[in-house]
Amino acid sequence: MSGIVWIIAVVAVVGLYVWYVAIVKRKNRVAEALSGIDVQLSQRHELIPNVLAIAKRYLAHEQTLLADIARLRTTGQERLGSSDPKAIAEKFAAENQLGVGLGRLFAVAEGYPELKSDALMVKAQATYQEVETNVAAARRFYNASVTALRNACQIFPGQLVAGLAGVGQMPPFFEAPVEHRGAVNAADHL
Amino acid sequence: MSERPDRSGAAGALFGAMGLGLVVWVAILWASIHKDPGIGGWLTGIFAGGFMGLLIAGAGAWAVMIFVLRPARRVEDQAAAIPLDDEMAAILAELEVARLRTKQQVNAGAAWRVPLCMVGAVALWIGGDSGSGSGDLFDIVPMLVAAGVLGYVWAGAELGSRYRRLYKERVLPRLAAGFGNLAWRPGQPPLDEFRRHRLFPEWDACDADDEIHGEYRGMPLSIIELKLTKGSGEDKRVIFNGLTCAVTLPRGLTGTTVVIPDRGLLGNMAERLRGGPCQPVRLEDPRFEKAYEVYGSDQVSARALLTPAFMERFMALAASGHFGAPAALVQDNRLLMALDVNGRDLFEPPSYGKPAASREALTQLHDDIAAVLKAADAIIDLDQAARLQPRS
Repeated sequence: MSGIVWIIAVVAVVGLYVWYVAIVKRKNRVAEALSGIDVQLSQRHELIPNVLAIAKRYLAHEQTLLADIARLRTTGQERLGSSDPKAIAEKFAAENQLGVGLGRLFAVAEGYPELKSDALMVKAQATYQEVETNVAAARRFYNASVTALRNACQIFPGQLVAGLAGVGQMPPFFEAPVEHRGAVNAADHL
Repeated sequence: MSERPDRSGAAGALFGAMGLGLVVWVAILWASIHKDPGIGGWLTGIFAGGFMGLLIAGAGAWAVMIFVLRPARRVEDQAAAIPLDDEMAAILAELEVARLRTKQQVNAGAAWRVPLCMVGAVALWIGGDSGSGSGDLFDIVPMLVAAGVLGYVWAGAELGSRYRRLYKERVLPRLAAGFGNLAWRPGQPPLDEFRRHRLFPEWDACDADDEIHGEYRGMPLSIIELKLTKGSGEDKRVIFNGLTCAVTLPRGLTGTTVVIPDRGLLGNMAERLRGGPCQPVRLEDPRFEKAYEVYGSDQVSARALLTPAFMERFMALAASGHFGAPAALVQDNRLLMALDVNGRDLFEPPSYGKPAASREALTQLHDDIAAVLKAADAIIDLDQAARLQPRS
């Protein structure tokens, strides 16, 4: 009888340890994904001064928008590298606002033929497209990692070992701005 | 406006074949009843006559397709823009000289090979006859015919292959140039890369004769016709038979991403246990996840390429029916897709039996290049359209 108890105890301990390892791995994956986001966001931040410098020459009536973008960039830059869930959530919100602001800027630029055809602006727009694609990719990697971590922590016996693995408050998801969401329709391009 | 080809003979020939089939049916039925007036004769006549009649009508329909309708289609195809300029005319004239020389050499070779094979057939027949003691004189006729054909094939195999190679090397670059800054060369597939990244299941023989390469729609392009096989003899099986199409995209991608069709639970597990720099990439689209396995050395870069729109279009490409499930290998900005076409061999030059300037052969080669460029279009559009759609 006592042999069976021992076997059950050993299996339980091994099971908990395996679960603990899985949580630690997933936690590290989230950290890796978060740093991936920061890399892409800093590329976005590096692009902004150039875009603003070109836009200022043509968009005299859009100074408020340009000032907003510059402010949001500063806010976003200050929060790069933060690991506290609350600070991360604030960073994501600020970056989403920045993304929307940049989107608006390029939309406004469409109404200014000279700005739209400016060689530097064309190049900046192409780079922006690439950077935004990479930001979206980093966001998807991060969200997938957060989902995996949440699953491991919230499914029994995850709750028992999450604290031991150093996972307290769950990291937030990085939701895409509403303006960037939409259904994919392959048929449109086939 | 192109002139419509005359197809009026097709209907007449078709009705003629059907009429002949009907006549044969009635004749066999009549003969059968005449021989056996009972129910057996009727049934035999109806079924045997019906079978023969259908066979004759079917053969007639096939002959109409081959000899009337297909040449008419060819006439329409000839409107295609094949560059038959002075340079091409000179190439074809040079090839015609080579073809006639090849034909003479084949005939000269056949002059001793055909009799030799026939003598061999007679020897075999005598040997077989003396052994069984019941040889039939009529057996020797098909044996002699087969031996004659064998001798001729023996004489023409190598010379014919050499001529076809020359034809490809001279005509295909010129035809490819008609599509833009493209050229043809013998295929140089990156087999080591395919093997290292396990783009295909294990293979042991590769056939890659042709490659169209150059610049297309402003991007470096390489399309290779590739056939991979494993085993030999009756155990030989085709691992891949299609096109690999590589384009260098104007992107900022890094690392390596491999997309391969799902290989089942055990196959996928074995793939993961092999390790290497590429790790599994989990994607959001459950249909894509079910149909494909993705491995990447850079998780972000893999997702920068495999946006939801890209995945949707990738699956649409597979579902279009033109190709089997595609596989992809992305190394930095170079996207290579393997498209299984499961069809006939492309870029097949005419044999030395046909004139070098055969419009039909030239049109076929021209159409083959157009077909592979359509595959390139599909891949370039796959990336470009995917980037225009929502990214999240």
